[in-house]
Amino acid sequence: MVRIFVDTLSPNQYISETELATCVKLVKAFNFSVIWISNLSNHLFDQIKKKNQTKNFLIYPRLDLGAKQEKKEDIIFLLRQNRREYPVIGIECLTPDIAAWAAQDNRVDILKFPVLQFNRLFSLSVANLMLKFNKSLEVPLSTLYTSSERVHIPLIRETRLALARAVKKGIPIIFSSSSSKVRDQRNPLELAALGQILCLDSQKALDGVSTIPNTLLEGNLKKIDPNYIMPGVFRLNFDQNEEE
Amino acid sequence: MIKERSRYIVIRFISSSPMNEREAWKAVSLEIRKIFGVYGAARVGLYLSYFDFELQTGIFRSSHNCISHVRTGLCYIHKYNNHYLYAFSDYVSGTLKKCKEYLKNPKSQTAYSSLRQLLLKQEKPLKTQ
Repeated sequence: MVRIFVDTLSPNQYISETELATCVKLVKAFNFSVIWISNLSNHLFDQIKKKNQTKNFLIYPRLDLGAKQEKKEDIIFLLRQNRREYPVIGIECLTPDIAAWAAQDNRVDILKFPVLQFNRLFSLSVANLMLKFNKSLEVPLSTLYTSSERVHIPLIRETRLALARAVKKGIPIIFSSSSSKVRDQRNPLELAALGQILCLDSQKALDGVSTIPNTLLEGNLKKIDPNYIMPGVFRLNFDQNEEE
Repeated sequence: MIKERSRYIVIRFISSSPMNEREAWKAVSLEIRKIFGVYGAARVGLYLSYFDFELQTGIFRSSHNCISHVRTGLCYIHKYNNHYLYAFSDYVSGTLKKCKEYLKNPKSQTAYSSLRQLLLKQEKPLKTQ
């Protein structure tokens, strides 16, 4: 079985267009087939997509909230504003309140946590809610390998404890580089290897870079389709019926 | 006791200053020792079997259980001797012969050279302390 690898790019606001284009080309060179670019302006995203998207390399936008918005109300406002515009929506949970709310909200697909507080914020109750409402947990691996040496030990410890909880509960885990620079890009197999060290299962780690994000994306693309009505109900042959 | 098998990993190095055999070995083994410690590094059993200076590629031998350890070590490599260094695994096989054949494969060479161009094009010199 050939795996379709998926990665996320999280460019910061100061990134130039050329650097972003290099990032995308590098991701393509590393044999990723799908890439999610988070929080990018529509104009820049369209340009990048036009230049780089091919039949075997697909680019999708992604909305990431929570890192800049301190209040829950601000996040809800932005979610309402961008409803049905993004195939993937992720929330970075900086407080336990936001984590508990995001785990129950149907608009949210992915939950992220600051890695140094991973084990504290990703509590057992949040894990139960995530399981109940079909949410995925994302681990931005670039924070692990780009951080300074003195925080390597707490970072790996926090992540391992949190991922052990997620594996025990059966929550789908997504491993992504979430990098903002060219230098932080890594091979999909290396990301999976780092994931394997953290969650002690090679198949789960490989699924986290390929199968789990792919199934999530496919499901959400169906949902934002104009012919989608509700789970299991689609409008068929829409154009033909209108012509008749 | 189950016999330990070995795997050969093709590792590509991309840096503005070319690396020799010893530097390549040191860059990888030091990072593995930093993350997994002496005990972990001993379990990995890393050994540099072959190094091509022109291609800047090494074939490393390790225990078949510990390929993920080697790959994890590669994730943590960023610089060596005040130069940015990109190291990534390209191919894994059970025999050294197959790995050498892979190095000669023109498809793998073109993929590697395009990646090299892409990475070195945007690289700025690292500030010396």
